[in-house]
Amino acid sequence: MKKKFYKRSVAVACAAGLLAGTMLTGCGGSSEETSSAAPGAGKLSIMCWSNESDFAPVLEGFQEQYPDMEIDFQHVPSEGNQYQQKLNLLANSEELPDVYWISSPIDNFAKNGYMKDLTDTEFVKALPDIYQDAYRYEDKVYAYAPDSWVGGMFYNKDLYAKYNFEAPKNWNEFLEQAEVFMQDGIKPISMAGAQLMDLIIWLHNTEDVAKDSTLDEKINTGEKKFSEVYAGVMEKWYNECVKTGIITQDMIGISDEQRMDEFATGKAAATLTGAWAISGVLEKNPDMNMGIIPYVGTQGNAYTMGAVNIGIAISSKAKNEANAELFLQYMASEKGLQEYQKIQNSFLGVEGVAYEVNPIMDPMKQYAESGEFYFPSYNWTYTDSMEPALQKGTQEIVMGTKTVDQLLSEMDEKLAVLIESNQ
Amino acid sequence: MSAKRYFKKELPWVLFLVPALLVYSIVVIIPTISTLVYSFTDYNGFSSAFHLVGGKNYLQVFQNKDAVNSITNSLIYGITVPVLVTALAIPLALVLNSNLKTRNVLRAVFFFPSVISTLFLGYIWKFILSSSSTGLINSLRIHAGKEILLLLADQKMAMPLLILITVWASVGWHACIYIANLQTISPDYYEAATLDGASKWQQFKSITLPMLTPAMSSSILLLLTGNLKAYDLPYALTSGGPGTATTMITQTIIEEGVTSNRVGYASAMSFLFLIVIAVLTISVNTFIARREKKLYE
Repeated sequence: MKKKFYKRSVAVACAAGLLAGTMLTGCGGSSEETSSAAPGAGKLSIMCWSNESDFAPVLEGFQEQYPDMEIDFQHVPSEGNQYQQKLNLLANSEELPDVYWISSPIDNFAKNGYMKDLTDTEFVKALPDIYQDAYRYEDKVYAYAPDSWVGGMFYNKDLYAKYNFEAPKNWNEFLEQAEVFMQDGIKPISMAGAQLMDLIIWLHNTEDVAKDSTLDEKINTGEKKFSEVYAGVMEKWYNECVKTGIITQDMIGISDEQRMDEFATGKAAATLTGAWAISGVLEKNPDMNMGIIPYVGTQGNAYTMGAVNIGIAISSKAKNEANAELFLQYMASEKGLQEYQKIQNSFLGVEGVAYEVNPIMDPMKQYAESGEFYFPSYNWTYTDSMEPALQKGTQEIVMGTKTVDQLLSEMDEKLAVLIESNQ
Repeated sequence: MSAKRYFKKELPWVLFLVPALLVYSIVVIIPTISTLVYSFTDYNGFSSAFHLVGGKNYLQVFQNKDAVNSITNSLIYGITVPVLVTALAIPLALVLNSNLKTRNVLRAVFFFPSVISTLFLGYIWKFILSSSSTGLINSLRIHAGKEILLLLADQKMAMPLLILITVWASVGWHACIYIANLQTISPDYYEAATLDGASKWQQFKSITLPMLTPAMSSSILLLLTGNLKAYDLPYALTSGGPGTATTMITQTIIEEGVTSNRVGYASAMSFLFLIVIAVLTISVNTFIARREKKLYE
């Protein structure tokens, strides 16, 4: 009897254990294992915010060179911070893919050892300093960013011509033209809820950054506060854009797609965006005759928005490190760069590689090449937290539930907490 | 039977629970305990060098206006939706349980919103209720020569609209729970009541409503726990806006923990909210259980 009981217990325990083991197999997985396959064979995991069909030409070109490699390509959209959140979670759980796209600043990832040092690679050395600096942390470069995006004010040339307007040459001219458009029920600028701060960036670039390009870095180091750097331009923004009706409350509930609709259908005279939006606008209105100008300041100076594009990094614990390096080498090759540039519709920072930009973007080429572009939040160490705070805060200012001073003081407090909790 | 013998007899069957217990521990118990431990630390999700900070994170939750605002929003949403859904689902269940010729079609129509992905519902309603002139309602208003409405861009309208959409999407599914319960009520009660001269309202109040207590118990608890933890529909519809008018605690926890890398602080928020949900759920459950007990006394 005893023996029978023992056998039955063991059998049940084994079955239970086996079942549990089977069910839990997927939860484990050794994160430390590295591939023993020769470079060019085996596997490579990639995570990117371009979708697979857009990215296909690059992958196909790479696979032509390494047909034996098995690529696991994962697309995560960038909207709503999804990409960064997923990247953070993967880093926390030590499950980063071999190659991943990462936006600057990279302080947290570099400081905590999630990125392979690429400083001495030939492809990084071939980049101009401004491109290397965007992904530099403590004298080492951790991501390869070969291109930059530059944007500005896209305007409806036909609509401007109808009013005998030329593209504004300074901020006051922009305001004067806006008033005329508004009288006729046309929005001077179409904006989505997340972009109400874009005119603040315009003013910050032309009025402040043009004089001192280190202002936002000073906020990071605690040398300056948001309330010191942004009070002037935000008051100007509030008085000249919100109070005058250039920015209205209905914009808060508008999606990016809808603001493009408004621009493409002539309900708005202009919009602030980059080259990536051109094809979408032309799809909505193939006859659209549009042009682009940089941000223009009160003194007629121009300093447009833009940044070194997203960087490509190799995980410091990549399971297929050799393949990851081969991928970056391919990305840095002439063919790889040309295919990549077509996807991004951006400006290349690598000398000697021929590429084309949409002719509409021609006026911006000089700014891209001279480095006269800037996007403040890309220079904030805690941009993932501070930019949404600014977005929500500007909405509240437009709704009348918050003042400029209150928002700036809240941003100062938030930054202080973030600095303290990440020390 | 001696205790030893009883233990020997039952042990093999108890062992069958091991796989489920293991999975439950890994998916629920261990993360909950980890969250509690992290809530007393300054863990940022990256660095393994974290320190104990006592109750600092819990204090910060109450000092942070955004956290208090999102807890308030979650409570308003999480309590209003169950009340409205229950108030509408019971009458709807009565209608759908009657002898209407179209009752099967009507059941399908009301159940349909529950089948669609919540995110998809959010995006569809976002288009319908957009403050843009290209949004559905505003396009119709422009064609009719009327001014556009702010709708989701109005901080006073965003939360009521979000609640209405959630109620619309949930009411059909919860009516089905009540229909299932209605079909278990014996017609004898109604026959007896009719013979005693009870009106329809008296029959509803004294027979139907008390007999629906078991369904009410399941429905309300599902609604309460589901809506207090809501994330997908509010996020798809308003992304927490305008400003922070519809930001739920779940969104704040994700933003603080994953985006801002304040895992310790986000854990404190999660644990506090777990307590709030537990207190509410236990209170409601106790109240309904008492009613249920009365029913069978």
